[in-house]
Amino acid sequence: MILDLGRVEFLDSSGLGSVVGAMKVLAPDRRLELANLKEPVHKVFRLTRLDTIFVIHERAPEIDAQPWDRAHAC
Amino acid sequence: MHAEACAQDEGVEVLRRTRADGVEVWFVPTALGVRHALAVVTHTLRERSIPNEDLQTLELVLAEAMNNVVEHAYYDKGDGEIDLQVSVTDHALRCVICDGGAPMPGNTPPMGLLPPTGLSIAEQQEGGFGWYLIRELSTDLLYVRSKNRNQLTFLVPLTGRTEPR
Repeated sequence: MILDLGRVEFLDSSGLGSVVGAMKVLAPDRRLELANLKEPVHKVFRLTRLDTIFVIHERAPEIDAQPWDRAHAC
Repeated sequence: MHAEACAQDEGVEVLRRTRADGVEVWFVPTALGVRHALAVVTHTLRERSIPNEDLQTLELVLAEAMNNVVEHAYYDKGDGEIDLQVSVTDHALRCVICDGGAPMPGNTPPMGLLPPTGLSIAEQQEGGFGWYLIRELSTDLLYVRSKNRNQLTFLVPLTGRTEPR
């Protein structure tokens, strides 16, 4: 499953926790991958070294992309 | 110097006071209050030509620190207030977060160490990244408890870089 974060402008540790949680729920049957990370969001994954445990795509493929907006905590 | 109310949509009020060297906001400690306060602060500082990359870093560090106040100082009850001051110096954005909530355990901010690498998916942690991000992205972090109030100060360095394309 590829999570398209193209509409996510901001991600903090709670958003990070949600993404990690989703990955754990899907495992081991399905693997969660990420796509279309904006630079501030990508930076948070790099800083926490979570970019090494997620496959991060430049662009989401047309099929199976799940748009997810308003991911930051509200 | 004048105080005004802003961000009154969704029933959330943020009081803002602009100063020659920065901005101060005052608001009720809820997650939504934090989001609105950050929008007010970044909007104000953007008008003062602070680069976007530095504002993004500032917003992240402030979100982490102030969400901690909401959850741990005020136990998600929202009965209190947060006062945030951000002032612009030559090299950094100086932040002061004050609140009247419960003291920080051990009277010192957590170290926020990252878990070891090489963990399996099931072993990945979902929480605990907040203090790591705060410490990684700020300098001169200081916590003081005085007269039943918490005060957290830190600097977010100004990189002077424009946003990469």
